[in-house]
Amino acid sequence: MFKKIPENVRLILTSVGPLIVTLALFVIVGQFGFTKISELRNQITKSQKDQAVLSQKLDLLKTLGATATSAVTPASNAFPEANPSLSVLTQIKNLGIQNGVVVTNIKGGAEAKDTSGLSRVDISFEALGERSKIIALAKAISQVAPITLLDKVKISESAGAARATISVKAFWAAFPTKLPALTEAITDLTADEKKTLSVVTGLTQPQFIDIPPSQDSSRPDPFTQ
Amino acid sequence: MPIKLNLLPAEYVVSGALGRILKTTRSLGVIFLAAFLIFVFGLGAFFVVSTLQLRNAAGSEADLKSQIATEEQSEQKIVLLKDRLKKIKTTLALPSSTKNLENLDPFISSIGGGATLSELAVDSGKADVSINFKNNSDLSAFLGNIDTIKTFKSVIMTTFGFNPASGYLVSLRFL
Repeated sequence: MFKKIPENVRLILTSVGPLIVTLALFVIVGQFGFTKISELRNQITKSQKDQAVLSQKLDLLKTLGATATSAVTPASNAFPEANPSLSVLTQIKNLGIQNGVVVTNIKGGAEAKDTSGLSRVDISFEALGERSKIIALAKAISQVAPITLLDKVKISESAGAARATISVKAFWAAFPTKLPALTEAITDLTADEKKTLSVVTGLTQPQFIDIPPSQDSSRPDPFTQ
Repeated sequence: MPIKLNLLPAEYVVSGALGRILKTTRSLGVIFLAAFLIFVFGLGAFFVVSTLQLRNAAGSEADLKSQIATEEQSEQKIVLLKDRLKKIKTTLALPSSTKNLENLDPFISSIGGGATLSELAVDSGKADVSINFKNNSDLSAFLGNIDTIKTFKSVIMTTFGFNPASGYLVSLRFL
């Protein structure tokens, strides 16, 4: 078949052909190679970025871990995961004792959703004693954990004795259930968070007592004696 | 004198200009082939280096991930702490009566022995105070104190009454 091609044409083909083939290979290999290398470089860049984030995260976990360990309990006491009515009642009773005020008629409402989206319980009680001491008690409510907001205070006085009806609000919210993705950065405590933390650590923490389980006492068997 | 002989058959003969072009093309072909080989070699070397870099980076990443996994408890505490602090901040920003009560406390404490606090009602927006004065001088002293209050925007006298038996009853609203 090729023998029919005139020698002149064959000469041209043998001269130009290798050049065309080489150029075609340049294009094909170049395109393929650059695509593959570009993919690799992208993966390397992503991996380096992830490494930087992970490295920063690891450093922060090591430095912030100690702060978090000491602060997480007061913060959880200040803002618990479940209805804090009992803790609040205990704190109010303690404040009553500290201020020489009789605290009676404590009433706790049902769970309500606050406008802030947090769960809330409204608690009211009556306080009997001197006016100044009742006011001192009412003011001290904002200094206890769980965080309790003074809602309303109504004091009436007769013959030197004051009687007050005080309403407070306590809040709670479920603990977070998910950790951020491993490659997601975490940030150090902001100035605002540090300020809030200093408020939290200054609150009077509720006293919890661990009651150990009762020992298995051997009861005497009256029938074998 | 040398004689120039061309023994090639007539169909093998190409004209002078085309011959030069073909010769240049053949030379270009060789140069491009050499360049292509260098290019392929370079590309291959770059590919190998990049693959090794990626392998190293992936190894370091895996190592960091395993180290972070051992610090999971710290991470849990940090996440919990940040969550609680955010919610505490939200709560502390909610309206409360404490500030009004604190602002009113010095004023209430200054009420003299000749007066009794009939009623005090404080909420986050206002404070209502009703005070009973037995005589005019106690009332005057009390009203004289009002202009010392700087912590409230306004004080409105909502009631002013007199009863010969109990004296003056003054009700004020602090906003």
